[in-house]
Amino acid sequence: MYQVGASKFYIASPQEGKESDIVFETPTFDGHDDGAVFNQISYLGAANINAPKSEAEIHRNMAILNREQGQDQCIRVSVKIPSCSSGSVVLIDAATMQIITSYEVQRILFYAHGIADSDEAACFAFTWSHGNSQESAIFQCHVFRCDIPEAVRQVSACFAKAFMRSPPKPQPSLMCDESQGDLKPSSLQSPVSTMSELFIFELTMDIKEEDSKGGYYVVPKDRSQFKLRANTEKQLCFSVHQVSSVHQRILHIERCFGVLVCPGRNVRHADMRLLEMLSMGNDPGSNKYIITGQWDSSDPALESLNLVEEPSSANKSYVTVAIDLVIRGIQEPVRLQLETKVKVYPKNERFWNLSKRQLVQQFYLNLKELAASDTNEPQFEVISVDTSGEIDRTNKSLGITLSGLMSLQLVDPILSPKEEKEDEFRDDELSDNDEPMLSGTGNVSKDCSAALLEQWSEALTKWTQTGTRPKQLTHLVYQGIPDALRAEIWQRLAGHSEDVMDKYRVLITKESSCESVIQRDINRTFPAHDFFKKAGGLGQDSLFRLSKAYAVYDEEVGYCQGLSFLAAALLLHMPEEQAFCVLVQIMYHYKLRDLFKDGFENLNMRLYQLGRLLEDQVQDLWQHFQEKGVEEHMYGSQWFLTLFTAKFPLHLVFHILDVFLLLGTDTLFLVALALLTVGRSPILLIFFSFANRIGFIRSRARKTCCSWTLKACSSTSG
Amino acid sequence: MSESYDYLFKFLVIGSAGTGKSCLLHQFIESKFKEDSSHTIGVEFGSKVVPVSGKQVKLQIWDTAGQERFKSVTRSYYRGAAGALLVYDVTRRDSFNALANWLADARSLASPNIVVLLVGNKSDLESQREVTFLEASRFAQENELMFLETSAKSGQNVVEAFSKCAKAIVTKIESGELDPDRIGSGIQYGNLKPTRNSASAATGRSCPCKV
Repeated sequence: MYQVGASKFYIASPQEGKESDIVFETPTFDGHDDGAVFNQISYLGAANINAPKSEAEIHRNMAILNREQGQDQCIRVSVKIPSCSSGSVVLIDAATMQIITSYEVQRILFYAHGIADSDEAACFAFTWSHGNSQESAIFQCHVFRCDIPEAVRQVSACFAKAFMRSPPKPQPSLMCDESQGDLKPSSLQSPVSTMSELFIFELTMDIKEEDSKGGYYVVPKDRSQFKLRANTEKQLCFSVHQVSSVHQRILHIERCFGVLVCPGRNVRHADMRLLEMLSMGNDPGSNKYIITGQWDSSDPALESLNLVEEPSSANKSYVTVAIDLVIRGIQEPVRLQLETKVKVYPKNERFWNLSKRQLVQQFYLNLKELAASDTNEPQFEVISVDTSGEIDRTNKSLGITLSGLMSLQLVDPILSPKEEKEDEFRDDELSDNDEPMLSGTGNVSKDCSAALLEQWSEALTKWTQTGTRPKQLTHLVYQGIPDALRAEIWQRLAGHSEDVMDKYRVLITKESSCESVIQRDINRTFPAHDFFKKAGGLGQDSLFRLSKAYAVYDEEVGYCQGLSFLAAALLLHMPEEQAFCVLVQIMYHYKLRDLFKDGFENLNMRLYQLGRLLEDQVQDLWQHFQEKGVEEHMYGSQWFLTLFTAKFPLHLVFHILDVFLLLGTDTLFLVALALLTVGRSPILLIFFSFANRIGFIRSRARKTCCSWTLKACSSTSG
Repeated sequence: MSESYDYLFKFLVIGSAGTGKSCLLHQFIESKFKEDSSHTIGVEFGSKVVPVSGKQVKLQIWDTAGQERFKSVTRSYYRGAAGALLVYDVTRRDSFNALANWLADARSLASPNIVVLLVGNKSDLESQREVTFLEASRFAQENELMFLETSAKSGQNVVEAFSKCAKAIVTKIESGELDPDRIGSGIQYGNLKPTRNSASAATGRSCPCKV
């Protein structure tokens, strides 16, 4: 036992033997005997902290707690700090030697000690995430004070070691901790070994060509293909950097020893041509590693890339490109290989549209850490290298649709994964003919958490006070407006005028030439919903009055089939007069009525725009639609004219209306693209199979989409 | 796996709003009456393979919206249709009176050779009948249409209507009156028949998800 003043240290780890000024003693409590124990420590308590990795925040909390907690109020403890990252920091009651609590090192986000020569010089603190998922995590800053200020240095050293060392033998390791909501793409979630660790690198590639003056400039690239000129000297320029890893471990790229290229794809290694390396090294201004290779256009092996394609030819050539990297800590070289489309033009071709999108791909390096050697440097073995495929950085705006609209609530909760599978196969076999969803079905959950209601009430108060939409509104609406609040929020979002409400009472007394047509459609709107089921019932009556009133109010558009679905969706939430106001707002203020005017001219324009967006953002699908002769109006007319209300389950219908009222007309595209985009991603297959079931793109369009999805899935997983 | 067939015909179902076009299609495909049918916006689709004169024929059916103003939207579906069911409601004279317009559209927009079958639907509602069988037959004769009265509700004559129309097309192909290889014929070869120099059939088969 070693005493510093009145304080004693106990160090139990044999590795610490060289620190001869500290005496070892086996701790007296039960548990792991591996680690260092510090006595004579006061636990000053914990404070919630929003920025768990901010040292300044931790110091601030440290100072507050240190000031508040006098000598006698705080808890006297011993603290055990483990020797590696798989262990836990254990608090032991100094009086009873009972374990009070423990904190897994993996969940410690940050450690800091007090600033020397300040009042907190004897303090140390760490932040820990409570809660089981990233969303529900609460970060707390736990603060301690050593009776002996000098001990803090030792504590810090022990924490540092605990953070650095991996466990000596395989254990549920830090990177497989699901509770941390880690960064791994789900497709890679099946760990080959629990010791594997994922590192993500991002690779950006440009192709440059020599111009007549001997300089090199970046060649045009639209969407996915580079436009190359035949018989022109080229350079390949790469930029590689690590974008993430669990526990912030950085892998250092030492050098690149090969840039390879080969026409075609799925090429054999032997066919790849090694290019002459022009330069490599770290970009001083960033953490990127830059590599340039010279592409000799006269190389016979690359001759096929000098063959000019017919301008009309839809054929696209592929080029496979690879770089071999030496990365510190990994013994074997790591090859990052990608395939990209190119189109070859004559040498003297002039490009007018100089779009220069960079090719960006991510590579997922799944590495296995080898048993710790003597050196401090971790050693890895490569388990797998996967790539994301090209990442389109231009459609960030879609993010909100995907996250906002494709949250889990879109997925029919009744379906178990197994049933979905069967459903999918069934679809594939008889797909055209399975029954489409009846319009107006689907349950809408009335449940809403107290916390969410609290947030809404806060937002509503603010809204009332300021008269403008509060900032948090967007976020709240994306989550879906609670059904209990929909009537009010919809009206507020739409903005209404008393004037129109008064008019309604007059309008319903007037006759309309469309009455017989409306009557015929009334019992054909949301026929599956109880409210509208009964002929002559309350629902059908108000729907009739509402539709007729609108036909009178808007002479130019009159009654148009499609409107009744929208009107019905509104009537499910609010009385006729209010529903009429919102309908009028949607038609006029949100300009939905433009779609119906002039022989649907505006609709056709919107559909054209949808087509261009699809071409731009969901290109493979667009291409497939082109080949199959699927045109936007085949699936889009109904979507747009009814504001997606006719054929989707009601909870989705309402949520789309939430977003539409928030964002306006752009929502048409966002939702349409979201519906079509889901088809691209195997992760969202579950949603798609659900969508198939309800028949949201019927027959031809739907089947194309569906098979396309399946194909995409099989090629990705295969 | 997609089913085997000799030919694929593109079919249209056209006619005024509320005449029961979607219900006819549903009865044809599902063999039951659709109680909770909603009105059609734009277009809906269905397909079924039927045996016709010893051949398997896949009908790819486009069910259009009936409201007059949607014509500008639905017209784009007419292109390349091989056959059409022109539907009116026997209990509504206005739907019968509109037939001439619908027919003119079909002949001008689809193909002059389009095979059209006139369908008087809702024949089960005898007591409310406004259009007699005789009157409709005369209209059919004058315009060189085939004619049947059907009931999507009871299923009477529904399959017959589609089959009869398909049969007429097969007959025309066999007699050489219709050339499936002609662009816009609305006919494709299926996977049972050996292809004769048909690019369209080849591209059609290259994709497993072809309809």
